Amino acid sequence: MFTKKKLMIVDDDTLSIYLNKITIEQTNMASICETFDNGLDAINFIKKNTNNPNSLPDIILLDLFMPIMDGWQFINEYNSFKEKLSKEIQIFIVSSSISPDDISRSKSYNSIKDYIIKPITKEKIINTINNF
Amino acid sequence: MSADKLNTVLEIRNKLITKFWPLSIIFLVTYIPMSFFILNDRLAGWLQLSSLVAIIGILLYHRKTKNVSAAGSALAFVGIPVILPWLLTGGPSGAGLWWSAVYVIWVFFITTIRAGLFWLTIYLLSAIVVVVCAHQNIVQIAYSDFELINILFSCVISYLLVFFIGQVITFYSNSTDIELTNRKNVEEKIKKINEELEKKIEEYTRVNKQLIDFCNIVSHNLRAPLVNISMLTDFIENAKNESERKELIEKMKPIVLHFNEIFNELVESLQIRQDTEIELDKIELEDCTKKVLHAFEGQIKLYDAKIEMDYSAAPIIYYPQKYIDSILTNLISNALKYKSPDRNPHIILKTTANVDNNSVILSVADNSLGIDLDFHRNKIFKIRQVFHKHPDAKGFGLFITKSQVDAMGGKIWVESTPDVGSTFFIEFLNV
Repeated sequence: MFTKKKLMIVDDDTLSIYLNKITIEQTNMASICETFDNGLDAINFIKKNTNNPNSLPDIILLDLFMPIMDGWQFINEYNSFKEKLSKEIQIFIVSSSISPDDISRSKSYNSIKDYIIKPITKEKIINTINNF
Repeated sequence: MSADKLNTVLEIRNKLITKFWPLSIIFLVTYIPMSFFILNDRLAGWLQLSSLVAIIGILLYHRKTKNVSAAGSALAFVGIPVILPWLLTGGPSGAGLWWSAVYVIWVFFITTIRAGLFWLTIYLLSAIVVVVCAHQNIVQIAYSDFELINILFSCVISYLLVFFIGQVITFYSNSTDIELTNRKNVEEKIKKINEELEKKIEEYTRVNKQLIDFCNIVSHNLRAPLVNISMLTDFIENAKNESERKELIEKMKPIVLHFNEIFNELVESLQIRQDTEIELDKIELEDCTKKVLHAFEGQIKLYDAKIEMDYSAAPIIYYPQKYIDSILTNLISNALKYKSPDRNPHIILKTTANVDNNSVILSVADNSLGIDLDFHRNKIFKIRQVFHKHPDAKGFGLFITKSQVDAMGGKIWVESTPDVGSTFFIEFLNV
């Protein structure tokens, strides 16, 4: 039986989280387990649940521009302890930035699966999960 | 001689050297008949004074430029026309005002070995011509061939001696030979051009960085609310019922407001950067700060904030009034907004004068929450950056502050320790 993927959204824009949540839930392929409005809170959550695979997400949708800890800082921090994680997590950048610098920078990280330019659509979500 | 004048002289010299042969032929043609004139003229001995003046001129030139070779060679050339007629005629003789004058100028410029050898040849040739003419009875001279050759030979030896001494002194004193002076001048010019180029590169790099920043602002800060608007529009279109539609429309308002704010901030910053001709006002910092603090009276009372001012090192600056108002407002507002919950705000405003580049540095130190600069150093002066979870945090407003400082050629930077406080520094140029 197809199990819904667990998604974590890290984005400082609450409206964006709200809209993305609705879009993702409409696909019926994933459920949102956690949302955080900055990288630091998300990192702390993951660190706390390192040995607790049931709480960890399958996929993280990560925004780049956030206060306190932005997407790049999140990735750097994540890379420093990802070996210890009890579960493999796929990270997707979800940003409104269309700057080629950001896109090419995201390709330089192994942990980043893909760069999704906002707005998120049902098709994009389905494709992402199907290629998972 | 000032550097500019020396440059002009050197330029003329360079032009003369390129015309060395045609000019030399003119001298050759005029010099030989002049030799006959010298030999027969016993009257205008005082004209030799002109040569003397020229010698003094050369010595003065040498004192200024320390150009031994040029002076030495010039002395050798001038000395001979002074001595030669004297020796030939047994008393003071007019060397001819015009040619000794021109001669001085000429040797002044041409001091190369090539020129020296050329003039030596001219001496010998003219001597031969004089001797031949005397033999043919074209001119009458009171000397025998032997005496004449002896005199000319002494002249040539003395010329060579002086020229040689000049060259040796140049070599050992390692002074700035005219060639070296010339090269030095060219090097200085290249250095100047390089400095100008570097300045331009710096300017273009700055403008380019601004352009990249602008692109980033457009591609992220402006695009983000647009994406939300477009998604919301789709949602509103597909809303199941009227209440859901109403709820979604409600969500539209803050985005549009936010979009508007960013847009205005961006336009304002662009205007500041373009307005390079803005007038400077005389700012009495203490008065100005007091006026700005007026707007914060409520907050200062509420938080029991302590504000200190020490503008004794530089009480007055020249700056656009509206910029300094805005800069002070922003920095004070941030210090109060991001105050630590554990202590009452304490802000210290201070100026220091930097004598090196004639600037004034204003520092605004506070005991606020502080900023983790390891994380945020690159972002602090960018548009709409937030570093704290604070309900009022919309970004520091430092984007505009930086635009205002940049536009006047100054600098802004920050030092901060989390939980201890921040100090913002602003450099005001040419005050």
